[in-house]
Amino acid sequence: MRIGMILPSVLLLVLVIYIPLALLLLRSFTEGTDGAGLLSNYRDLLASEPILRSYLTSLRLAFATVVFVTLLGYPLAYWLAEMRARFSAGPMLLVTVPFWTSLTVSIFAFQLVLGRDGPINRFLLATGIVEEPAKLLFTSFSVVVGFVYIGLPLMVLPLYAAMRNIDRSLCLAAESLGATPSQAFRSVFLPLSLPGAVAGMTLVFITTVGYFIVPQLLGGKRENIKNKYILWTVRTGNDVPFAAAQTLGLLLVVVVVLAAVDRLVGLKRFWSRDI
Amino acid sequence: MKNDGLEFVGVTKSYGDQQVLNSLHLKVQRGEFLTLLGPSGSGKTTTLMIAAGLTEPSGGHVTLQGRDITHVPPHKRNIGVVFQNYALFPHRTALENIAYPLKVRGISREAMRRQAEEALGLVQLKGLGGRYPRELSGGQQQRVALARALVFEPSLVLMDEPLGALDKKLRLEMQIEIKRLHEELALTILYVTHDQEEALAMSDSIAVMRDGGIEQLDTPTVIYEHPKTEFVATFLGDTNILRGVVAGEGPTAQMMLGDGEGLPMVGIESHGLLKAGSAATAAVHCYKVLISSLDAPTSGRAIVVTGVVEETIYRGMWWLIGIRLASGQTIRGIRGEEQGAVPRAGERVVASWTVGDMKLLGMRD
Repeated sequence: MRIGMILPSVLLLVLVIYIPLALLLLRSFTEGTDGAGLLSNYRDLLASEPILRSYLTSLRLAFATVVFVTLLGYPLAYWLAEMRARFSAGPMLLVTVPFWTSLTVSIFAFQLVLGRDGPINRFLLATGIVEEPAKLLFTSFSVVVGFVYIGLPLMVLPLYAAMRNIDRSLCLAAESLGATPSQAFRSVFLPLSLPGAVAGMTLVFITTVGYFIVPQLLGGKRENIKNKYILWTVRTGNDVPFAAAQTLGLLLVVVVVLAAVDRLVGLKRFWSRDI
Repeated sequence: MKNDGLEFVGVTKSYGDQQVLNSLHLKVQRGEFLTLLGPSGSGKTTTLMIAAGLTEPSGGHVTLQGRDITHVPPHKRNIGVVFQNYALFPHRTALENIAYPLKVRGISREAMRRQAEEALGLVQLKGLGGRYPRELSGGQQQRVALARALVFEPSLVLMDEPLGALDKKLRLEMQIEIKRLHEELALTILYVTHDQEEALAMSDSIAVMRDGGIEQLDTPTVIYEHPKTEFVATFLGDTNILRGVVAGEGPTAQMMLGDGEGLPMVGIESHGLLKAGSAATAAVHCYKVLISSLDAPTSGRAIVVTGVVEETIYRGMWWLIGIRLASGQTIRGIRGEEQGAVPRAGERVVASWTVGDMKLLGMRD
């Protein structure tokens, strides 16, 4: 192992991320209400109902996103993986569009599409499904739509890679051994694609639970996710230590969720697999 | 005779305008070990996949134990398949792999376990059932694949070059193993290989395939000793092919390889091919050709030609010596160790064999 080769990136991470983060988190302990001890910021945090609710909102939106992205991404990845490699390049480019378009532009596009006079509402009105324009924008729905847009490539890419690596003769073998095509899919293909799905779900969860712009521009008052609160704490109260405490809280929540997933499906087992 | 094994009736398969199988007729009797032998692209794997139901034929019929299975999906055929790469399920242990066909048949957990353990013992892997495929050696994986294809007592077992990935020693071991299972369990086996030694050692019958058709189907000895065509003779290896023109008739008939270089044809199996002036192709195994020095006696061997040594290859038991004849054709023969010094390249020597060891082949091409 050449230490010298990884040194620059390690140095960058330490200087730009780890040290500032550590200093920030340190302030959450040292600078609190006077005389209330090291954990005063955390006591305040646990006592504040809107702050706790903002954690739940973040989790709720992230979970909803993971569910929808998985439901949409699995068939999409399957379709791409079944395609001959040289034909899948085009559709793959379309899937990764969110990666290389300006996010702000896309989100304003969503505002137009989902708005009162947007094409969706016009369609709903024209077909008589609704009598008044439905409120789509600035709801949990519009936030999840934005999240799904961002999350889909994060799900499809690892899933596609996992599916491509599955030996197709395994499914044929299963059928020759007496399994119906759907039995073969469920007992062979699905479990072998799970590592990719879990990797995708983790990426989508981590990304969306901490996303700021999407809920800010597509969400309403009820979509008060954690990060909005953190920003608000800094901006209005100029209370950086309290914001830092909230940040550590979010970090802990993410770690707890990942640990739970790890326990349930054994992330390490999947990731260390040599197939 | 009614066929209670596998039968292909005029089966064709084409991809686009490329014909892979050309009206194939083939019968595998119950309890028979039949090998499809041929070069890659001869259609042997396609034949196997059609039997398994994993490839749809373009035409013709396939029957198994008298039942037309041409359009029966693979999972309803009760045919065991051993794939070239084993196709073991990587997320299941060896025992779970073997139990899989029982599981999808809805057999009780207890019976499943007992039968799978039994199959594990059958392939001599007792105690390794808990290992994952990646924790097993190539030979052990092969045994698991074998057990998995046998555990549900299939009416037919298909094997697609199952020993191709193993080293020579292991390959010989598995050949004996598969042969043992074939006899013990009275299996009907359709086996695919491009390895002539494997085919000769294991099979009851060999079908030599070429360009999507069967060139010759017979027992290993007949295939080896009496190849019908030049293709079969050369594919089985170590066979000399000589070309010439028939001169004279009856007892004076000769096959002229070139100017003044004739082989007497008296007593050869001719199948009516011996007509003066017609082109002839003859085959003789290397191991039937004796290479000796110019002055050595060639008593009892009617065919004697002289040539110049081109190559000498040590094969342990003997030397394989290639010589070039006056006509420019080459022939390989053997020289036993007891026959003294091995001739060197450039030396003039004599090659001799008996008329009975030479076969006149059908006129193809």
